[in-house]
Amino acid sequence: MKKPVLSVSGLSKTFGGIRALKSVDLEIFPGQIVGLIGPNGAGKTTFFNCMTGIYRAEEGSVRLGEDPPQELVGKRPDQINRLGLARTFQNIRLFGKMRVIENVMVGRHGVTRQGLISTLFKTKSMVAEEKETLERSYELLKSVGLEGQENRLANELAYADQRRLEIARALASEPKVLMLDEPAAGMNHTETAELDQLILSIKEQAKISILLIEHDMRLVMNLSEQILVMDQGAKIAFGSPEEIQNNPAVIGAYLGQEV
Amino acid sequence: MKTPWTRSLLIGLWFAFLTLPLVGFRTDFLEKTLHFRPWPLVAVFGVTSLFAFGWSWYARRQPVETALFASYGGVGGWGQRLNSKPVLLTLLSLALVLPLVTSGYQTGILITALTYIVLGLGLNIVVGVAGLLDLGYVAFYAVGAYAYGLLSQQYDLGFWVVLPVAGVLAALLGVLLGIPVLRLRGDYLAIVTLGFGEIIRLVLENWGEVTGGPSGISGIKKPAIPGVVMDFQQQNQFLYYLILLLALVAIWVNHRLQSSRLGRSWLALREDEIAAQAMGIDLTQTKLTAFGLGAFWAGVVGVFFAAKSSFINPASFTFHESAIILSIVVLGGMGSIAGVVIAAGLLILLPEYLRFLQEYRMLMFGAVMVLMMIFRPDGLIKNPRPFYSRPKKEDR
Repeated sequence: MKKPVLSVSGLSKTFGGIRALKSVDLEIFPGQIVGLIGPNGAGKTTFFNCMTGIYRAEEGSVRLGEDPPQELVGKRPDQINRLGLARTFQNIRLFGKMRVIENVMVGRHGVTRQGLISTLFKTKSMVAEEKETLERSYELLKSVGLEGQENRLANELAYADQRRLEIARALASEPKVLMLDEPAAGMNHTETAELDQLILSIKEQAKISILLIEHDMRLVMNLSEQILVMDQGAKIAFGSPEEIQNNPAVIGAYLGQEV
Repeated sequence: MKTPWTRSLLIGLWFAFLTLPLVGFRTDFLEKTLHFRPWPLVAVFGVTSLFAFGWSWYARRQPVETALFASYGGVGGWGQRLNSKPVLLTLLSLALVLPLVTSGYQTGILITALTYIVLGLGLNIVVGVAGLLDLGYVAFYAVGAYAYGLLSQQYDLGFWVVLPVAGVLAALLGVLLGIPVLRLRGDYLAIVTLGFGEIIRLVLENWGEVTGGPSGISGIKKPAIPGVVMDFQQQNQFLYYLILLLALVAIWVNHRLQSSRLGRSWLALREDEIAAQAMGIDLTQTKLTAFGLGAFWAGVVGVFFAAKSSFINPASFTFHESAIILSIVVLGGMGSIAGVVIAAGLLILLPEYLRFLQEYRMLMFGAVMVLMMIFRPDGLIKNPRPFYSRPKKEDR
């Protein structure tokens, strides 16, 4: 039996009196794409924020990696990123006044080392690392289809391209698990279809697991091997796309229950 | 929706109303009566309306932002031409020759301008690049100046020893200030740093036994080369070359950092703190390096200032100074080295060379600033990021 690369157990978070997350469990195995769906306000983004350290979960644990698994709850966002969990944001958060290529280069911050002194004296290792960073960033931009846009400013890009750039930036940190928060939001049909292909190729080439929040059902059902359904902060179903589509609790959450 | 014409007429009407008490009435002192004068008002109305319409027509014809210069980012823009080797070498040789051919007075002005270039470059790291609005920058300048004043008088330490020591001292203080304000941003950070600057000044003013209180420290030794006797003019020229060297080093450091891992992480913090952290950037470490390095330059320049004027007191380190240095950074364009150099030149040299205008001097200065804000609201150099090209195959 394979070990999970990411296992979440009993993750809980409250805001004042509202229980935004109620003991959510999830396991992702290497190379898997897991979808995360649920009606608006179900707690999907809160779940992401608790896992990436932006919010501090009150209970539960998030373990990343195989041997030995590292506990993520209680760590800072930058530490979590360095351990191998990278994400994109629902409301795009790029570094707008930096060049496209620089956005990706910032993504490699956690896997590079050079500091003040080596930069000032332009040491050999610093020059080599910069060159590698630049080269890898060019490759990543090519792989997400942003070739030729490297020297534009990030906020000049078209909306769909900004989403793609966020994915490239997250991939630059060489994560074990990539978390995409509504990557298809605001995209048209053609762009969504391209995104579908992109996510599949990322999974194949980078050999990483992907956790995907998405409202576009066709995309989620297409891509995901397993789907986690949340409603009002709790997990209500987990299974393959076919199981989820026929699950009465899921249908109830989306369409309302018969009284 | 208002048409440009109605808009212009409304603007004219508003101006006529504003100038009503000034233009619309004439007092007759002999008869002690007030006469209403409609024609000048009509003239004000007409001229303003026409001007407003012309302005809006001009603005519609070409976007205001690109009207004056091409941006730095554009190929062949003026910033790029400025960045070429021949231009930089010409500027450098000009800077080297100037004190030899001009009067001591001119050299003095240039020394002041160069001082502010270094201060601007230091604050540029904190405000321009890392986006941490620091209104108390002058505190570190004061720390450097007093460090030299006190260390040279009490312990007889020389200029060359104190220069790095004071820099490090200011940097440490910068880090110390940085720790409690790590979580603050924008307005809140500005208020705390403003308070910090005032605290340092008030301590200097009131801790009489150590700092000499409001009367400050006088008779501070000027920098010297051991074994060389200099007359007044040579001393002045020596100071010039010294601060020129400091400025060049500061430019070099800023330039190196601009496109490095550290420089990019500062920028990322300025653009989006949460995303930056999610990309593995350690908030604490990155912010503290910015505060420390920025303060370092203020400390170094503080030593130079104390040595140059041989007299320091708290009056030299008021909020006014912080405001000027901040203006240099903002005017130059956040994060731009060339911008800081040009803006420091403008802000320091312009008031000096406008002296022939006498009492209209500051008025002209203000007008220039207002025009700047209209035509280049993002600063002189808008986008200072360098261009990237893919490493060549053979280097890979």
